Amino acid sequence: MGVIRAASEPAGVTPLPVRRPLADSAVLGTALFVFTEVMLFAGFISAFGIVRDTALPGAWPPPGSPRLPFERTMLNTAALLASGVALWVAGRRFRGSSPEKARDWTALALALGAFFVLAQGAEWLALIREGLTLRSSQLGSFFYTIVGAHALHALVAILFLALAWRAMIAGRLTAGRFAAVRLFWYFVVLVWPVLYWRVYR
Amino acid sequence: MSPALATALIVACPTLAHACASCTGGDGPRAQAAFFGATVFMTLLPLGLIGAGILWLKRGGREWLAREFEDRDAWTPPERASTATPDQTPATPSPAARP
Repeated sequence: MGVIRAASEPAGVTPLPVRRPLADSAVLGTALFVFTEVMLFAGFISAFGIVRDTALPGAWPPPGSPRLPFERTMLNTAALLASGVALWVAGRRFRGSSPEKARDWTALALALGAFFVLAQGAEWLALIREGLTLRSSQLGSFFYTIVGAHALHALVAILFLALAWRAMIAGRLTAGRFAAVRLFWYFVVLVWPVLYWRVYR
Repeated sequence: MSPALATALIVACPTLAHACASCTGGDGPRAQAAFFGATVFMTLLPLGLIGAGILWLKRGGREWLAREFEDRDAWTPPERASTATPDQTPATPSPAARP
């Protein structure tokens, strides 16, 4: 009696479908990272608030410290917020019927973000010339730590957005990766008004 | 003083127990308000973030579960054709062929 063997599977067999994950891995990973960074900035803001509010009358801002450019930074803040709006529109176009238009909106968000970082850099140079440094006073320490940490995040976000833009042009950008990049950009954009209001005012 | 009583006092009367010199012994009401505000902020923020994350997963989870049987129903099993060939070498040798 021979062995009953099954013939090999014929071509064109429908493979078992792979379940789509509940959340895209890139988005979930970025969300967890954003969570930790939000707590980092929350710690900075809390510490700054306590030092400022527990200072003796007349001791804050520290005597001799230059005044922070609240009005001039409003323009930088507006540029950063506009970049968030531009990227939101880019996200809508990417998912919608005209993904090629997403490229232009992404480029606009990139340009506005780069303007913000460059303008902040120019502002820092002016403040250093006026005598506000990392070691000049508590205000200087907090200012450069908090705003510097945000600038670092903004630089990384610009780098990721530039890579995503390049991939978008080449047609290689997936929706999940673009969503992750956008999530990180929104975090950089939305945390800035809180820092601006607490530190510059 | 028993440990249980000491714990109850610390929980019920932190000022009496000097549980936090920074919070309760600050330089006036402004300092205490700053500490209190920072404590509330740092306590509620992570809870809010975790809650938002759970809501986001829950909302996505509902749509994900709704699509669960779409994949199963769309799948068609392969048609298997079995062949019996008597002159093929058997998998195991017959007892008579063993040494």
